[in-house]
Amino acid sequence: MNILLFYFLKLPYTGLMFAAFFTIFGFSFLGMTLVNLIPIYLGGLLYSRHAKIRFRSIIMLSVFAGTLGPVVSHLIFGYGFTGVFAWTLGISIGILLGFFVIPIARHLLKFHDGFNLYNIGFASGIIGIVFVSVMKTLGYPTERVVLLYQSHNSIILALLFMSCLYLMTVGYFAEEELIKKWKLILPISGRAISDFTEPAGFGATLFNMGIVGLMGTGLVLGFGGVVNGFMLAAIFTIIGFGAFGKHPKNIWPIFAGAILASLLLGLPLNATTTLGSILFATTLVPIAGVYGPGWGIVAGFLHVFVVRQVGDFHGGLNLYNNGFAGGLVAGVLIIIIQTLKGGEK
Amino acid sequence: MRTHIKRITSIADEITTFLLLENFSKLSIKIEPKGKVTVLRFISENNPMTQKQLDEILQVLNQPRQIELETYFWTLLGESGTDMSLNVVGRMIDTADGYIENGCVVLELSREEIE
Repeated sequence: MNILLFYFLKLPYTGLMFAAFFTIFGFSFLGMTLVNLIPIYLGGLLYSRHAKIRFRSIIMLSVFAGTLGPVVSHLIFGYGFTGVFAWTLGISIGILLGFFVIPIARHLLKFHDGFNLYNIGFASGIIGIVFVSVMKTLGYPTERVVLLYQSHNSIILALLFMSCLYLMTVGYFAEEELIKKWKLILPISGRAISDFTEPAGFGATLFNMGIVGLMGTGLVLGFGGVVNGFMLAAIFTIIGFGAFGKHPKNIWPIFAGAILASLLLGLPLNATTTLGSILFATTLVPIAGVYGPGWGIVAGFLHVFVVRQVGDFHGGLNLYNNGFAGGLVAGVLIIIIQTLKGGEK
Repeated sequence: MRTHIKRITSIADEITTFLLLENFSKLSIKIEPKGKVTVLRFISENNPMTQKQLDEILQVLNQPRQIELETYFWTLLGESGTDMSLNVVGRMIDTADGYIENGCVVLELSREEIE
């Protein structure tokens, strides 16, 4: 559906497009469906009409805003409403959220100055808190749903590896001076806007996406984790943002900090939730890119503590819970860093 | 229209911050709307910059304009004055030109209102 939308809207191929596409592809294994995405997109379309801007200018944000899909699904299937009323309510609220999430996300970007890559997740977390609070006050508490596949599946694993290798191979054949071009990506901080397709070209960008995908997959396998829907969402999101901010040099400090925190807290490293928080902590790579690996480790470390607590605030209705936690960590940490460095934020 | 003007002032803010952080002084700014196109001209009477540095800045500023990114990320402008912020400016303008002449540095940016 998204490929068709991108095609008909004649969108240029950018790093953000890769990030959006692979993120939604990954989250199609974890909570996003056509039923809960379409109202959000309609909301985005209405916003573009209201703001007198072209829909193609904001479609990418609507794609990311699919993180609020569970709100729609929960209204239709989860709160006990039935029939036409449930569907009408779910779709209407979905359109409303799709409309307002765009200006809210744009405004909240300033909170962390672009140091949290999953900013829509941050905005959606805030929206989710408001929504869940309203529903609870009205007598409709939000029950969290946890469905996790817990068996090893070698076919899925093989497909994941092949996807990463495929990206690297296409990159190899698309770019004559592949390694030279790829090295242009490594000094980039990852802070918005870090579109790797511009300085390095598509070949090197695809190669980088494959590399970071292998890093994520290798981490899951190395710790003996199960590749389930949650892990696929995390790994494909990393692959997507391998075109828009993430590369090995800014990812490793985040991984290191998050693993360290997990060990300190005695969390089982092969557990899906632990691995998810380590993989998604890479939303904070701009901190490692701008302020160095030391602060990157601190960011990854803090992220694990925060993400374990904030999910209950929005009742799990924001799929990018790590984006929400990442926004909080980045917003606080950059002020601390700037203060210690002797300047104002 | 209001959004377009806010984006112009944000660009001016970002470039001004960047140039002052680069030790430019006696900086003058001229913002000239010509129909749908707005030209921003920055002139510094002193020149702490080499031609190579100026070329590097122009390279960042002359990235292809990306309205899909601009709509979302323009709110980041006006804070840092770093090269990453110049990156954002580069995505928001159509052309950037610059030269060093008689000890002055001139930087000229143009942006068309599309939406």
